[in-house]
Amino acid sequence: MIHEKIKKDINEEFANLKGALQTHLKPGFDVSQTKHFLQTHIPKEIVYKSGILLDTILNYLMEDARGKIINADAKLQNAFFDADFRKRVHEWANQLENKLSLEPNIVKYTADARLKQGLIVSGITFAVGTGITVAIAPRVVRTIVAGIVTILLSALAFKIAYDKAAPKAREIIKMDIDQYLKASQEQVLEWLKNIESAFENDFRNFCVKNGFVLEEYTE
Amino acid sequence: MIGKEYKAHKDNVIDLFGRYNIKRGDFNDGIDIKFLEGRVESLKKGKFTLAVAGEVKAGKSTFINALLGAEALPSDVLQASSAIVEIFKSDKSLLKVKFADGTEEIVYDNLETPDTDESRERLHEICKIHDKYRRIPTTLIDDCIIKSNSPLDIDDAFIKQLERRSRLQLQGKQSVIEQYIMERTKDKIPVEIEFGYPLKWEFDELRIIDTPGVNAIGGIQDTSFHFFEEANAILFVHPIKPIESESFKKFVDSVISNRSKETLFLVLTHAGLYSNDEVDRLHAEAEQLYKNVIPANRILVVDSLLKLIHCDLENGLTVQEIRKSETKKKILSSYKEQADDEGKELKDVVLESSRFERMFATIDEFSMKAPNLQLQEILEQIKAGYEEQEIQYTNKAERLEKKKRNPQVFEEEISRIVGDLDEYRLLTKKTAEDLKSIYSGRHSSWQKDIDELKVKYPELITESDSIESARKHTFDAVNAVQERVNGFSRELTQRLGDALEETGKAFKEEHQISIPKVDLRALEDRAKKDAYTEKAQYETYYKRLWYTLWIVRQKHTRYLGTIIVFDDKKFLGEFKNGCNEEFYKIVNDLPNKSKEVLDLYLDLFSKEMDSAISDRQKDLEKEKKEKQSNEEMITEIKELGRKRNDIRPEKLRCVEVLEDIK
Repeated sequence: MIHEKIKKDINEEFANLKGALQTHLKPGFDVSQTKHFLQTHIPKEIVYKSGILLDTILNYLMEDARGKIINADAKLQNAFFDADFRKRVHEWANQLENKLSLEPNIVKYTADARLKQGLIVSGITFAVGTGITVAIAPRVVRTIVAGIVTILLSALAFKIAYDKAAPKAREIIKMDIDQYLKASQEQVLEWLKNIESAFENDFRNFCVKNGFVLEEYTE
Repeated sequence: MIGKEYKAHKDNVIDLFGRYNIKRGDFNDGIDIKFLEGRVESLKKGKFTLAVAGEVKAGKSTFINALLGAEALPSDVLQASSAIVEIFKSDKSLLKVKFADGTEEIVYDNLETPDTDESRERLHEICKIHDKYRRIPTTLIDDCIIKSNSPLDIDDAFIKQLERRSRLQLQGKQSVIEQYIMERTKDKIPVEIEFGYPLKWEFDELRIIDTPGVNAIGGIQDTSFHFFEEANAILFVHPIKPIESESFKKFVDSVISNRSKETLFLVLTHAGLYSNDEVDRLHAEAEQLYKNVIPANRILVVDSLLKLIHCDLENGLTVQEIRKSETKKKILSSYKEQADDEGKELKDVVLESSRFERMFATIDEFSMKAPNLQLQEILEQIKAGYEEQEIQYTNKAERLEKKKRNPQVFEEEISRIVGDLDEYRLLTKKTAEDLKSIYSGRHSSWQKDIDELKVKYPELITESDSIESARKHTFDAVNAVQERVNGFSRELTQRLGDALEETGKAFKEEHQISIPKVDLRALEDRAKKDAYTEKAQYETYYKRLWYTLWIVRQKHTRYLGTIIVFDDKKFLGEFKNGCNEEFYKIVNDLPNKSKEVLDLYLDLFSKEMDSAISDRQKDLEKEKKEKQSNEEMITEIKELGRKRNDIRPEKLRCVEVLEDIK
């Protein structure tokens, strides 16, 4: 029951995150600046959301545990609150071996389409220009002038091709982000499963220590 | 004058607290006396800040002088300084100036030279500007000098930038600008000016802030921006004719933050130059013109010069003496005629026509809400303390009566109450856990509020088309976060209070006992202080150097929102990303910080409640064991009655003052 509820929460939180990211991915967004900004922003948001989800699952677990001891005497109930399960689980989740660490911890982008296109086009322009320079410019000064023109033309070709490939680059970024979100969602789900088990073990130990028999374990 | 009523209420509250403190002594009435004492102390030291804005030459200095009721500021010189001038009441004139190079200067009025006010003269000197510099944007240039660590390059790009920001035509004025910059070194540019003046007003904590003029497009410098953020009221001064002001619209729409907008008034000056009908027509036109910018009841009309003439007459100056001032002479004749025709005192006619009294009443009505709320909260605490004292005195007297009649029944009663208090302890723990559950996780209303902020503000910042607009939205975002933070602890106190009252009421009815109280407001403050530390937000940016063919980047650090120089598209993009990053950092820390507050608060609450319950139990046990004769018991019952009677008139006075404030 708790597991299903938290799974639904995770789905909704990741859907919300995807929606919120659209602010930065509106048509015509600046490719370089946005790429740079989102690379670390998205993992930070996921870590932030996992903290909220940890508290969400703790609310479910505490409610469940309180229900199980509702008929116990005041002394045991007092001891339950004094034990501060929320704090203990937070401490457990903060230990290095139990902490959520996303893999990878930054968004990995596939090669920039703009750079690739730009390099190909400028490379071709450069090769052609060099060929022409060698073929039709035997004198030294003319060779130098023709050479400079070749370099300028290939730089221009690079710029044109670079700009033209921007829409493609934007699509690739969006796909990269989608993949990262999907992989991270799985990791958060696994992590919260471990939290749930840790809480339940801790609570069971508390009951045993205080001589309280949980109904579900009575045979 | 502004704050007259507030001042009276404040004096009453301070007096009531002093008497409460004596009467209470060490008695535990559930009020954290140290916390309350701290609040009263900060009330005594509190400032009420009125910031005045307006374009250069809008009559700002004359208006401030009229506000002050004294010609303290030199209004005959164009204010050339980019500094903020803070004016306050002091026994004698004094001037404190901090210059851009960090040096400080203090000038006192020399009492041995009664005809000269040295500090006022020095202020005059600092604010004065040479005629030849009147047509260049001196305050803007000062700002560039202050921010630059090396000599400024006065090239075409620099001039164009000045033109764009000031909307002044500066072509051909390069040499004047160069000369100005040569003369204007950092040790000559004042950045903070405090001016104390022997003013007649009663509201000692009032501070008037004279800000550098806004430019033609409503732009302001960062120092002014921060002062506006902190001000209790902002008065934007503008001549009544021509009524349309682009600078005002821009100032409201895209320069100041939404919070500052709530405290803003538009003051239309020079009303005395026109007939009443004309003024009414212009006022109505202004209301229509700015209806989407500012509420109609916050547009005020005044005449500063008439108010100054009134002050002169109050100070015993004759009409002949006043006429020596050319500006006053022009306006005085018609009002003298009006006074003669109507058979009224000239003093009364000019005061009424200045419309200052009406303005003071309106500012009071809007701006005193928050300070009055503080007074109310203190009074509510004092009243609650007295009420608890009354209950405890009554209960103890009743127990003593029982003890007197039947000691055995009394002892049984004490044991029962002690046991019941243990049960109450469990109830408070359950309440605390309920609150933890309500305020954490994705389904809490608190988290939904944060999520809304995270959608709204990054969108506004990302879509900003200028640095000023991005700065405004970032500050609005941070203010909105702060508001939620304050709201969070306030709501927490409210909920905990309500829950305790509800459970406590039911518990009291069932068990017939009075339950201990703790000062939730004090706990809230302690928890908040422990969990939050305020620090200025800085960010790092890189500037490419043109002489390295834009290859080398130089690292710079800046205070968020202070950039004025680089405003090309790329920079704007980076600036917006920077603003978004800062905002996300602050807003994403909120759940952790709120959890910290929540845990601290509820831990403190549990500890205080445990200790209050234990103290009550110990007192009751002591009461049980105490051997008393009948006479001793009768004397103590009488004494408890006397104490109860003693606090009743005090409680009544609290109620009266509270009603008066509300």
